[in-house]
Amino acid sequence: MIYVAYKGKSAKRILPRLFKYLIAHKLLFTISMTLVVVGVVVDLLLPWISRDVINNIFMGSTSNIWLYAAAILGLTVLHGAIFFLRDYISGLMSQKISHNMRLQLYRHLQDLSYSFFDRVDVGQIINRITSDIDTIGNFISSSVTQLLSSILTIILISMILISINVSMALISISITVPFIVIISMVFARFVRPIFDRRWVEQSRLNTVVAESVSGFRVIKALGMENWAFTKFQSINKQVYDLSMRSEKLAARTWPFLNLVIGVASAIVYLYGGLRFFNNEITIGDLVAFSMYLGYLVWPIMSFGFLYADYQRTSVSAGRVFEALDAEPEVKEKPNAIELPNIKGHVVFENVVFGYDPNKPVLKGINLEVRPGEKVALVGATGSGKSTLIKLIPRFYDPQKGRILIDGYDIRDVKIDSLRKQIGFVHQDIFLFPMSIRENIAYGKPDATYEEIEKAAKIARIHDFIMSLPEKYDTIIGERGVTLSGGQRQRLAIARALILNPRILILDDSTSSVDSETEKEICEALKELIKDKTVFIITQRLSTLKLADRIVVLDNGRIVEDGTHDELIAKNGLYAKIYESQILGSRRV
Amino acid sequence: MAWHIMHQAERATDEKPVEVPTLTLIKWLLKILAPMKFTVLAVVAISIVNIGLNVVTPYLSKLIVDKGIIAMDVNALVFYTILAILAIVIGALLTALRRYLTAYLNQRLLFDLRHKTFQHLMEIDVHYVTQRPSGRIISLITNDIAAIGEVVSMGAIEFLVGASTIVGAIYMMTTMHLMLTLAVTSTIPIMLLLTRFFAKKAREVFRETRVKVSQLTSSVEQSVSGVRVAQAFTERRNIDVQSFERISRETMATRVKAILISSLIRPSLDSVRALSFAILIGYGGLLIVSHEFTIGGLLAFYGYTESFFRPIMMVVMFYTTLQSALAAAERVYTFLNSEPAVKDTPYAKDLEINEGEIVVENVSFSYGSNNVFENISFKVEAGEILAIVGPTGAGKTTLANLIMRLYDPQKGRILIDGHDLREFTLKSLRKATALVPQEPILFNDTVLENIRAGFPEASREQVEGVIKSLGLEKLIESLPQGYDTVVAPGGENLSVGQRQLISFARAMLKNPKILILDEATSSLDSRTESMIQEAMVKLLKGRTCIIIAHRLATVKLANRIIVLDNGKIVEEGTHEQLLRRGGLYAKLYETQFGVLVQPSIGSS
Repeated sequence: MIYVAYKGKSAKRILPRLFKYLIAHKLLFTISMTLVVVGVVVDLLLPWISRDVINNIFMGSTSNIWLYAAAILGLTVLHGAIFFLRDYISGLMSQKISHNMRLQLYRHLQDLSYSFFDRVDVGQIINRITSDIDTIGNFISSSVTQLLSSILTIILISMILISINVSMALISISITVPFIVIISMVFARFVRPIFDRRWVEQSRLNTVVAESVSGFRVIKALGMENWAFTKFQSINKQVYDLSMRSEKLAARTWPFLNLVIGVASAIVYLYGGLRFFNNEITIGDLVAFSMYLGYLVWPIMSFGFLYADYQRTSVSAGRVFEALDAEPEVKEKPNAIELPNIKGHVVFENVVFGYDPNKPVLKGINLEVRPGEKVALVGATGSGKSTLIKLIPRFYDPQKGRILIDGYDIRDVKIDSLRKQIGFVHQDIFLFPMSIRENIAYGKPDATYEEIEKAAKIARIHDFIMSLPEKYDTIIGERGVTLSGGQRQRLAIARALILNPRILILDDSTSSVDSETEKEICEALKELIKDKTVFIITQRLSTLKLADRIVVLDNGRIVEDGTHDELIAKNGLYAKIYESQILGSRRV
Repeated sequence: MAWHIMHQAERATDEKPVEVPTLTLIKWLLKILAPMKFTVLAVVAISIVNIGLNVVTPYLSKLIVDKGIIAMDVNALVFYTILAILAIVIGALLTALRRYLTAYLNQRLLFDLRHKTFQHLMEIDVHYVTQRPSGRIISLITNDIAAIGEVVSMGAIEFLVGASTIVGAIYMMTTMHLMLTLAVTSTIPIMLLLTRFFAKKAREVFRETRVKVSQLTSSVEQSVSGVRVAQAFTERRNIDVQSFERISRETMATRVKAILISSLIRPSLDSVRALSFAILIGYGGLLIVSHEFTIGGLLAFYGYTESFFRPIMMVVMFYTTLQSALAAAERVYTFLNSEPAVKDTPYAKDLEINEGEIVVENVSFSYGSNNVFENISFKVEAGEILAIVGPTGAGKTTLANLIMRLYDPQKGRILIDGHDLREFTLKSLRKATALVPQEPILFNDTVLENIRAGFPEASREQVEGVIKSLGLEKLIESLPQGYDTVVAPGGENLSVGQRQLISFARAMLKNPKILILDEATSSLDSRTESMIQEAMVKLLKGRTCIIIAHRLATVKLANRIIVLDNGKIVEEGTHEQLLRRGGLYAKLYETQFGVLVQPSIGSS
């Protein structure tokens, strides 16, 4: 599991990378930036008018007063229109960025190898695609507009303040800015690790929920509710504690910003008042000054918020980039060639493989399977049978040795062109919550009705499907749990058969089918697989009967290889396994 | 028939928005906040002091200008400035405290909601969960609850504080100049109308957004769960990407709609505020020129206008964001109020199962419109081992579901030790029974924890004892970290056989009086299976056991066999009796036996 805390090392690369997503939308970006500039200028005109108004009033002149009032109203409406456009366009941009990132991540996930999904759980992936990407999208679009508008506002206001009164301006700026910078930095420094840990806990929470939902029947049947609940609750508590820690930090930090700004404006009044006594400034100046100072509050505070947002975003972005950067362990060579239509000649040359490279499961496999040969792999649980066949479609790559199909090293060909020619029936059947028709045609979306029916008939599931009210259009419940194990296996067989593959791999695909049906499936398959290369893993003899050669695995090595008769005559491991099967059955 | 395809099962994209009256939701949320009422009160008290300060501060600025600056009184200037600074400092401290307490309320609310929702999930029935995309329930506990979060407690307080500030500000203004106050506040009705308009629009859009987020989660969850299949079927990829792209695009479109509304709110309110401000400048200016009003007064008025418009805007904007929270709350509320179809009856008691006799009496059951059983009856004696055999889809697993009371039959009843299942509390029933299912589902936790899951109080020694009695020490030894090996997501680091063994140990650890094995050993190699069976002969003593199996080898343990076909018991008896009868069982047996008498595999 990747529960590694995000390292700050690559954090430096996060900003430029985020920026790239932003400038991908040049037009929207330019428009929103322009609107920001216009918005700021309009924003600052308002107090300027107020200053004139107050000076006029103080002088006792009322002539233009309603004109000024109308100007204020007009400017505000204009201001509103500009801000609306700005918010809308940057919102649009953020949604576009999120959408693109989601797609990019989704596509990338489909390219990643089995080993990635062995390590990373569903909660983490959901967290990345949903909330992380939203956080990022919101941040990059709003942060840049906010940043530009804040900087511009601060510069313009500083200039205005200086033009009104230099010493007053310098005093108020020098009180506020350093404090705000320090407060923000301190906050960021401490909040980052908290956000980071909270992300991990939140993902664990998602995983527990996802697992509880998918294993729901077991939880109920074994009374595991308390166990699951305790587990959930302890993570829930963690999320709560971490959230509270970041909140405590925020509560200790942010009010100081208010304080700094409040004190600064009080000092301006005090100092400005004294200046007014000396006739150095007008009352209008003083009013405008305090209004402008008020306008500084948000832009300055926004740096702090932006910084906090950035901390949160960089945790999310780190996670998303981590997934985007995950290299598929099974990679297509840049010069990979299209695998032509194969005959089905499969050669394992000295293949060594372990999920953990230090603990090889396959310890040097040499095996040649000629086109059209049907090989049964036999061996105890954990002997490496399932692992061996997972290497053929390159679900994993061996650490040593190579696998050749029709003389091509499978690492030299395009992955799609390889997998297209292999029908694989997994041991764990996963069906999609779609119609039966879509499930069977999963690997061949353009399959005709006849093809689907033919595959279903061979897999002995057609009659059952026809007995359903909506026949092939029946939607299967989530994870196919509403079908019996045998029915699911048969659908999975139909799903593989429809591809008409040259190589067919059956990984214990009939374990839950009753013996009568199993026999029927095998008879139908016999005809169909006549000229195909077939790998069979099975515990059941009628399926074993499909094979014309038996390879016995023990502890990651091939220990016996031959026909059934040869191996029985040899009286080795196979004979023993076969014997126990017969003995076991005779007792019935 | 045992299959129960939910042809009415919802697809991930079929989800409809739910609607619950706002008042109900608010009452419900307040009820959840009720245990924290002292914190709420503290926050409100702090807020009132804060409001006082908010109201005083603009007045102090009036004093600074009028009494200090314009009157050219240095002492007054310094005095009032110090007062203003004091007010600000106290205000900041109170704000810090208030913020912290509000955050506490928020996080507690989130914590409690997650707690309640998961607890309810553990209480709901199997049917409810299996007919919905799992992403939807995940989205509920994660996304929806997060969306309720901040807004509710923060909002409730903001609302209260805002309302009091408005009242305070307007009162202060009236003491200074009544007509000017009336003129300036004349815009408030416009604001209220705008609020209503936006809130209505927002709720609709946010409802849609919640549905989209849920669909997106479902889609991701499904893709991740099915990724191994998807990779084996490369032609499919484009369709999957396209369908994800469609959901993602719809999510974007709905969100953009929401953004359109929320970015309209602020400028509209700003314009109304500017109207008030224009009135203040125009009318107030005239008043000053005619000496009916002071410059300081105008400044204070400006401050008050700000300090009552800001809360109004906060409240309005809050009310709109509240719509987003309420849209999420609707979903959580609806879930929490869904009644489990299977639950403790009012007369249920914690009954102990001493004998383990099971009687199935005239039971009829159907999933939706699909009849599985009609009027089925049979009896399992205490301590008996009964095998249920039959073709795929005969109803075997459904029978297991009914005996475990995962579903209730529509007609008839099931009795254990003479008590209707519904007389037991679910807890007492499931404590004494255990099911080893077809699919050995393990959780992303250590092997030890996985075994312990059905009986969390068990010590490590007890777990070791069960493993030993099953003869599985070797299995544990073969795992990289033994009992502490963490099962990978989806159990991928273990073979299906290994998972079945762990799942078996998990059931045995409960020391159940009644044990149901549903194809529990289908993926074991024959040697391991016969080893397990030898262990079981000892272990099953004193237990009632129902074995569901296709492999007739597994059936050898049984004292009696029931043959199920198409939801009916077609044969019943011992192995020999049934073979002699020459019916379905004999046919099923012969298919397997036929293989055995032809040991010529591969010799052709």
